[in-house]
Amino acid sequence: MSLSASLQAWLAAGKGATAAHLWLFQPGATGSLVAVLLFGIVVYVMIQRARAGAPMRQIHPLPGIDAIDEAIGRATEMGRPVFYSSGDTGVTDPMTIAHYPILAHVARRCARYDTRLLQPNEDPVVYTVNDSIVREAYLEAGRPEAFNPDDVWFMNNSSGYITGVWDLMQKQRPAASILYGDFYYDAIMLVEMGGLVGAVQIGATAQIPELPFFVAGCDYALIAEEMYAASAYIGHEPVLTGTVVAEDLYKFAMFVLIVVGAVWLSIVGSTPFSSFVHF
Amino acid sequence: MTGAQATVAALSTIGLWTWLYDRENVVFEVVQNLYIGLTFAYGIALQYADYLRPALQRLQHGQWTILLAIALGLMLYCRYFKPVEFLGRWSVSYFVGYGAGYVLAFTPAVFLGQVNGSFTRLWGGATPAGTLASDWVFFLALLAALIYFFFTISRRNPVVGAGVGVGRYVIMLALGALFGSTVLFRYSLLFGRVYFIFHTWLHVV
Amino acid sequence: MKKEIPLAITGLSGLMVIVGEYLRFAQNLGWLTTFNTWFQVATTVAFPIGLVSLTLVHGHNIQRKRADWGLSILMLAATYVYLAFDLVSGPANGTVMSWVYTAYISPVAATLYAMTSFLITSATFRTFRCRNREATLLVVAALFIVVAQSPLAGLISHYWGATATWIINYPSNAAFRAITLGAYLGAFATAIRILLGIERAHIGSLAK
Repeated sequence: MSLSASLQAWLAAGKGATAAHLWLFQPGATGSLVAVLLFGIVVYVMIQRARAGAPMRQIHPLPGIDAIDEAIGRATEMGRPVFYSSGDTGVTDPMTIAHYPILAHVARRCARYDTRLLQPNEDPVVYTVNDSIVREAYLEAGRPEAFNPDDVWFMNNSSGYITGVWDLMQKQRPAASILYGDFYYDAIMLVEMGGLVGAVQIGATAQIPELPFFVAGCDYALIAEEMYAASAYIGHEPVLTGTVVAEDLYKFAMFVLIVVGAVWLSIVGSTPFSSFVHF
Repeated sequence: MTGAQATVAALSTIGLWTWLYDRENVVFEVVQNLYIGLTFAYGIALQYADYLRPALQRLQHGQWTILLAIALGLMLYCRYFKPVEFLGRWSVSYFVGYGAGYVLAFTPAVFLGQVNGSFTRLWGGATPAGTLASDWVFFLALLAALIYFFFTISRRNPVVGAGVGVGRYVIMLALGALFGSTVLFRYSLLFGRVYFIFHTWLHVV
Repeated sequence: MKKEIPLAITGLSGLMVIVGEYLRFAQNLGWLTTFNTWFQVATTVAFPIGLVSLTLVHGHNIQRKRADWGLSILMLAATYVYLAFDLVSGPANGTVMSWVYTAYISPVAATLYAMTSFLITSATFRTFRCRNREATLLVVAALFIVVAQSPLAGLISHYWGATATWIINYPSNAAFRAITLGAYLGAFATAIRILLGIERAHIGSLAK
């Protein structure tokens, strides 16, 4: 369709739109846009406050993150490698996005302590990002020559990853295993294999069906939102912390909304919120 | 499935199971290395057939914009060539940015639906007393579990501290229940594979 | 500019999807469909970079005669030979691609999935360590549900199954709702941090 024809189609479609949408917003998705914009505004305000040097609340301790240094230290003492997996999915997954700062932290520590980091990947594009992150971490630590390009690699795009990791763990016997990202049914397999070789395990995911295996099998687990807050916690950077404060403010609003919604529903029998969801 | 295919399937199944007996045996290693190679080749070929071939056909029909997408993908390979390594970062930036945009574009509707589904009737209506009591449990458990996920509020506050404590127990109860539900389902899958060996391949049951 | 261009690309590509989804004119112009197609095509073109990595790593294994270099030869041979067949024949029925898939790939995948049952058993035993009160609660809840799903529950009490269903429908459901809501907020915050260029580990040392 040509541009002018498309614009005419848009104008024609706009005639049927409600005034509230002003022809601009997609009906049915406007409520979502408002929710995102509100969240964006809260995040922006908190970022500006952090940049202006306003005092920022601290994130309460996340033992799973604190344990990373301890686990790497243990691997160093034992002369065994650290295993790190960023999950099964691609770059579009927010859990994958959330792992980058954690990998950077782990890689910097490994570089500093001269501990081998094994980082097999399941997605080719994620592999390239992870490879860059680890490479840079070694560079930052002033030990670029210690980086072994064969230790960050693409292993397989499907369940072959599990068999490959089993084999790898059995032969390399890592002393620490960090699983940070979106995992599916392989979660239990990776956790158990890590347990069998005696690795200290730290697991983080927001994939609900796999959470029980991380909580039950790992020494430390970060549950869902904790894995997203970790990047701010790890760097103690005010701007990143500001975004977590924004998250909390928005969550508080949601908390109040759930209470008000319950009272409203009990009195009136329905809430106007469902109309907003589909607005 | 032909007889030859069933034999290959059964042998590979048994080969994989040898891991349970000896975690470092050559049969398992052969099965797993073949599997890694074959699945990846299959993945590339399938993606080529599903996405790239149609894209190349679009090019033949004059849809030149698709070249931009192909260029974005190809730029990723620049990471192996020092002088143009930066182009690889442009490509990665595109993928990561698209992912972040995707999250903000498509997940808020689900999020709002979840919030909407969290409104619980706490009194009134024709709800039986038993259901109402259960709804109160849901309501309070939800609030407690939400409190657990506040990261910047001091947990020394007694109300917050109590909420976090209850929330943690509720979360553990839920994860335990999920663990239990999953166990039997996974066993049913194991029985499926055993049935394949004895029924489809060996015809003994 | 070395830093600004990747950050601008990140922001713009995210904004494209957001505009494509929420703005009416973009929907009518079919932008979102176009952006999604671009992404699929770009991902497909990028996908074989895994083959480059696999070849480099296993090539080094073979070249340096590291342990298991024979297996590296086997893997690379399987990959390239099967890929050649697949690209020539395609996924149609009766081709080498579909034969190998039915005989090898699909059964091995199913077996792997089934093997989780063995590992769940050992995971359950390790969980029995009941390191603290929370872990104990997790184990008790898991056992309660396992018994509820077995014929044993009916023999003990008919309330057993009903209680298990209640746990799943009310407290458990509430916890998962809270986990999901929190996870969405975490994902939104992460996405916003990426688009605003605050979180930029993906561009490496340029981030500094």
